Amino acid sequence: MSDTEPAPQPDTAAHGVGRHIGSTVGRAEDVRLVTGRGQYLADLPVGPRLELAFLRATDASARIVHLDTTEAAQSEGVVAVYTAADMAGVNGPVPVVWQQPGLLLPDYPALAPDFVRYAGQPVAAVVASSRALAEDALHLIDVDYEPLPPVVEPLAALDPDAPIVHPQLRTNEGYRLATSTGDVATAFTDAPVVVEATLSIQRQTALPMECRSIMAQPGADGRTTVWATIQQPHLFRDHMAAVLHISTDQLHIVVPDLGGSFGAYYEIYPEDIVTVFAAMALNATVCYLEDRQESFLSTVHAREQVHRAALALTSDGRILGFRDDIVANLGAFVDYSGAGTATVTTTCACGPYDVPATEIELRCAFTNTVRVGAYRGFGMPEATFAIERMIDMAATRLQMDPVQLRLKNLPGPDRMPYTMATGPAIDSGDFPSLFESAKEAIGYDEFLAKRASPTNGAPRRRAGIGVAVYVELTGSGPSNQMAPRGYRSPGWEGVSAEVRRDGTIRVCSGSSHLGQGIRTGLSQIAADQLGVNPAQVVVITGDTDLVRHGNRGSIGSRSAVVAGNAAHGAAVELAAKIKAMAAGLLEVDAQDLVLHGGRVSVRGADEVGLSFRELAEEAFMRQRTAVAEHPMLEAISFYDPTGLPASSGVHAARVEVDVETGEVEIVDYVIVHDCGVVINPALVDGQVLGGTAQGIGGALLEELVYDANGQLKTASMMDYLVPTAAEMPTVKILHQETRSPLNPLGVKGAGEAGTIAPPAALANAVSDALGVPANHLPLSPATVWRLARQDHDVAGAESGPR
Amino acid sequence: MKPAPFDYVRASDLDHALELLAYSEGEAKLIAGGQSLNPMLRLRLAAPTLLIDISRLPELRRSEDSPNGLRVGAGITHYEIERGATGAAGALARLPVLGRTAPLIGHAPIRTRGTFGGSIAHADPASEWCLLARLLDARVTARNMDGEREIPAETFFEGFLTNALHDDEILTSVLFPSLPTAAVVLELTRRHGDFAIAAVGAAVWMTGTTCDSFHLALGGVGSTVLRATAAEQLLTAGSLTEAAIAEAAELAAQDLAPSADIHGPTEYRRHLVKVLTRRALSDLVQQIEDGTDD
Repeated sequence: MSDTEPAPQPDTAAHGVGRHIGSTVGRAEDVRLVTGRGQYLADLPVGPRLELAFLRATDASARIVHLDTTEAAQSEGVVAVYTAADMAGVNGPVPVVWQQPGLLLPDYPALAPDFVRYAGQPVAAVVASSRALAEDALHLIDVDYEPLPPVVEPLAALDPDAPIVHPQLRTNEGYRLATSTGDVATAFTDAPVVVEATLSIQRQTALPMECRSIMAQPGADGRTTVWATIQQPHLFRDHMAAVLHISTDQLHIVVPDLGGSFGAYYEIYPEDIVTVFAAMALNATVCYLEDRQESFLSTVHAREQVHRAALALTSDGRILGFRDDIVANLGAFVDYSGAGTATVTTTCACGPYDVPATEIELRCAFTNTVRVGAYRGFGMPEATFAIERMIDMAATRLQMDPVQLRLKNLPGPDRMPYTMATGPAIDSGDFPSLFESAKEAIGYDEFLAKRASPTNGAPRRRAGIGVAVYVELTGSGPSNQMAPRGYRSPGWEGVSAEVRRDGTIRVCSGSSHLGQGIRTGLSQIAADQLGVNPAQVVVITGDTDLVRHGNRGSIGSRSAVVAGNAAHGAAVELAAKIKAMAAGLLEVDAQDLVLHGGRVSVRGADEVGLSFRELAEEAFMRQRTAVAEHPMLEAISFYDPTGLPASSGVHAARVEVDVETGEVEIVDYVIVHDCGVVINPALVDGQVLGGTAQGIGGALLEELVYDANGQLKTASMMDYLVPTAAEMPTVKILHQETRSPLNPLGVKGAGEAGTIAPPAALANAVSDALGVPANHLPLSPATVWRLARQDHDVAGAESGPR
Repeated sequence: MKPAPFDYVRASDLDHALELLAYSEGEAKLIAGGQSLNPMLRLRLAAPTLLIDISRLPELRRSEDSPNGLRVGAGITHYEIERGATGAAGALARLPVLGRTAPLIGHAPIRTRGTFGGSIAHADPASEWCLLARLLDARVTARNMDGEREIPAETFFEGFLTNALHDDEILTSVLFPSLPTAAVVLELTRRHGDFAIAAVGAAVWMTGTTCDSFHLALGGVGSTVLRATAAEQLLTAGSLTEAAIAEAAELAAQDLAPSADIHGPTEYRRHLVKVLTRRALSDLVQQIEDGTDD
């Protein structure tokens, strides 16, 4: 499906002996996974286990007036039934790791004690010998609700007369952020051209193929092993221990193979707390396997914002100012990142453009819906959609080419690093070059030339072309700048690297595997410094006992940047230790030694040397050398980002719109992607392509719809439409490598980039095809048909066959 | 998402299945491909005490091509129809719209399990087979322990997911008594394999170049598949000019009030019927001109 060009080999001479960075190294786990030998959570051979099922609120807002579990407790196979009363003292609150200053933080209990705030909220839990028996018992729980009026839409929730989701907060406005730069009032007053629009991004969800799962097994030693579908095992351990008032030593967290993630596994959920609580209370293995319906009703949702934006420009297309009034839906409680996703939207609101005056206001509303939180892209697709639509609308108004208008307002490579209007700096990048490659690959000029000449094509199909540019701020940090922003975790990551007695290398990283290939990437980085094949490097992730120094796991496109550079540092340090020890044994100067083929030897005289195995054996046995500070050949290195390496990219799409049915066909799709030095082209392509599929879903298909009563109408994969292979166009991915100056490897994150631009690029293409702005996602056939009808030619065409 | 407890019996033959059904007094459900029933069981929207598995009964897998028409056994899968393995030699050649319609149903794994009769009995207004059954005035054979009866498609589909079968009856086969000269099924789905937002079937019976009869059926826009009788009359009376096609499309859509859902408002679905009718009729004209013997 992907049509890619090989990435150019990076210049690695400057920072090591490398040859593996930049090459497509296959993932060690692939054979196992594609031959059905994966160990997903439900597959783990841990012996008999009890299963959990949850009674979930059927009302979106209600008081629980009666809850009787007596009959359920006596049902076949039932071991325990828990309600909030049974969990007193450990009933949450569900932890929040990013607490923005000013954020209102309602307690989110594991099991609802007296009120339910969204349909799907866990109210009681049944532990039984099988999931089926647990579900049978759920139907025997006697529960009565006194319904309260719900509020579903964020704009409606901010109305002073709206029902208040959390009465104790006295407001639905959970978070407000207003920032401005420059003289906005003058910019707009004096501007010859002002474009204004309301834009909306629908509610979506990450929808990993494997639903959330967790299993807890208490051991005889008083410790409990927890296997879970999570992205941050160490933070999960720390937060879980805090909720349950136990020592972190009592928990051992293991991440098995994961079937997805995409942000859905970012946090601790109520069900996780109940599962570990139940296992410890019953001293038995307890497992919770979320089903697909529950996934829609309880795993975090994402996106859902309304932007009222205005762009001021000179008559020749120079941006003078940008205003964006953003309203975001929080859902009934805040997610792990607080109002984080919407906050990131404000940071990226102006895109990479040079905007002299800005005014960005964000209001986040509590509603009686599932929480809105992390999903690949994390606030950036929303921002990119808004600004990139505004730019295209301005181009239409100015009768300028949209690419030209962009180039006119983008900082050139000569202005890097470039401080964005909203504060952070773009460390590096080359936007004109991205556009040049994208235009050529999609045939931009040819498309415009062809359209300019009259055709005999069927008028019911209209062709359009659209582009979108973005920057993605990756590898969040540095730590000392995160605390003031409300983060309760730092930005660093630690990696250890050691030579084992058999001469192989072991690397341990707190960045966690979630299908992205981090183990392979880290093995390449270490292999380059240590002169071994990546296959000789075993990378351990996702285990809090084996990995001592873990922190934020794999989130926010940070692993390659943070764990990657930590691995690089550890490997550099280990290489020095190897050389120092070998120098003594070989009685040569360490500077004359090289690492190659799993050996350390004298440069130019390979026969004078030692294999890593011989060296490691001596490091262990110490027959010829004295024990120094650290007897083993091991190094630990920490990396704390010094800034935010900015990945960038341009997506270009050609579409054909059937104006009679509203169907959108993607005819061609091109991505030019710059994540700095590419560690593994195949893995980066996989990340970008997968993300793009999700972005296309967000542009055209996916939408979570609530009715006015707060009932989710799209709680199945029959109604929530993710793109399948049949809906995917051929995507051409081109790499552009602009080294990040911020880190030794020169890398930038690549995990989320694919999702960011498709809604913007496709909406621009559809708008171009119809001559009508497409500002509301998703661009479903019904929506596009309605847009097409705004065009008089099309309306006229409907009267007869064409 | 686990079903409520139920017993399961794989019937050894059709009589065994009929016997079990009769004795269960409405508490049993028949299962063949299970593609619709299984989700309903898991959502506990259906909670039968007994599942009677009829998926392997040879009696339900018999098809027949005779002067009375083409009979398709209820147990034939969508995929078997797709590749022409209906059990009746030459069935696809006699009614090629069957083979062209089958790929519109779900995805390959669904089509290899789901059955023709199961789909008819499920009576989903968006079902392609229900659309064809109504379009071609098919006759449904229902059997109980006492014998058989034939039910015209027009009365078989009583409403949304509701059919005319009695509790003790099994749908054994469907007869297409009269095979059209040409037939077309067109639908609009959000993704490949999804339920149609709207579907249109058109069929024409001709003697030489004279049109004897026109049928037009609309799927997914009412509680059952509908026939656009006013448009049919117009087309049967006249010739297939562009103007007639446009007028028929207007007529087909004008009295519809399809309910709004997450995929679109009433107005949009009505409009789609118009567009799909026009396109289906144009395709039909093309087929006739190409001499396709449908």
